[in-house]
Amino acid sequence: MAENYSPLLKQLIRALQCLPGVGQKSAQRMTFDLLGEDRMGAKRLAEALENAATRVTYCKDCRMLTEDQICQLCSSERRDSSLLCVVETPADVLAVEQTGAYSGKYFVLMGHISPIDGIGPGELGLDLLEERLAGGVITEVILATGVTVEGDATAHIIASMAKKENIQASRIAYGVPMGGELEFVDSGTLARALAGRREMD
Amino acid sequence: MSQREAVQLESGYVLHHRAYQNTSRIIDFLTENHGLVSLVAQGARRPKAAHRAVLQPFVPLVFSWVRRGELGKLTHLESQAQAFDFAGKQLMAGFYLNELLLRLLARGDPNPEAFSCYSRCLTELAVGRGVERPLRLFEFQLLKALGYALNLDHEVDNGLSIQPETYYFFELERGPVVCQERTEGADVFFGRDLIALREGILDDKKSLEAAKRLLQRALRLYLGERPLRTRMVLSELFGRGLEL
Ligand SMILES: [Zn+2]
Repeated sequence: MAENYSPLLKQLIRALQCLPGVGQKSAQRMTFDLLGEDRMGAKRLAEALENAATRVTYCKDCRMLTEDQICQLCSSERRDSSLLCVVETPADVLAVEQTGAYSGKYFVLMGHISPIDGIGPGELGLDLLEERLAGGVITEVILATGVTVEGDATAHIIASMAKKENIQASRIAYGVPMGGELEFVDSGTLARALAGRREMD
Repeated sequence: MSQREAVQLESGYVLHHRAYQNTSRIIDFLTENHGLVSLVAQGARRPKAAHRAVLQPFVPLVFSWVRRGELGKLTHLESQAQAFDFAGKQLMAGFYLNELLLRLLARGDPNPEAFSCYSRCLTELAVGRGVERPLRLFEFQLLKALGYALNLDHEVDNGLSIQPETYYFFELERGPVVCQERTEGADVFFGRDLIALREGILDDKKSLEAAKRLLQRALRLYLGERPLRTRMVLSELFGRGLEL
């Protein structure tokens, strides 16, 4: 069937499949929705995507995705600069924000240590993190990396960086199931995990 | 078409995993009786996937699969025992073991001996008395399991047994030859240290260092030019002065 679509339709269907969870079938349905009833929506989507894809980069302080030099969370004066929560992904920042239980700042690693894949300190921006820890403002680092083997390894490395600067490092508590990535944990559980965080040695 | 293979309740460990398609993972397992096996775990990346908690490195697992060709499909999985409770250095050592196995074992080549070296090494790492000794013994035993055993018994040229107070030049793939030098060099080893490795003693710094020097040379022969990534990440961490 798909071979009967015009080149532009095919192109769009293929492009939509870069979204997680979207296969051939859902991509076709989205295409027909966008081009049928909701042509204005399609134009807005195209424009938003184009703008974001060209202008969004990383915050110079925390590596969160933003089109500003410094993201809103980092520049907010209402946030407690002495607390730093280290997470793996931008989605994890949103997950922690949704708990409403955290008022400090963030650092986004954009992944976790995975030595076999060659992902080490450099890839995770640990140079930048080191600078922030050395800045003298932070008194506690909360390690909210995934509760996976790789997330644990990452937490240990950052804890040892914090130790060098005499900064307390704590790990979110295991209410989160092993194998869990933060963004999938419900708000209540995550809030408890944050509150019950334990100092790492 | 290649033959369909269905294996029930095999013991093994996750060595490495990577994302596959939208919600799945491809996992490289070390198995007890089937060597390295790559299997797709369907839906393993879904938030509520049943196996998320156990489908991790350093968990003794029992699992089943079906396979036709290179990539099989995981059909059953359970943990056999508690996960090894590793932290810091132990985790890094574990990743190193995993990479060594992925690089040195041939796919589809059963090697129960390599499997038992691995289980033994994890158990020893878990004791928490340093990682160097367990790693060196693993490297030594793995080379043997792969059929590349180091000769630490006798001199290559005359079959005389190794003497503790003698210096030897070590010819890779052959063995020790008595040498005139009286100090250790890149390829020169003190007999006592060769014996310590052979007997699995390695209880002092000096014999550990000698073992590392010898084993790194031997491993390089089989690993080829491409360096181990775990080793690069580790030296980057070390370069930052991070005590794990
Ligand atoms: Zn920021």
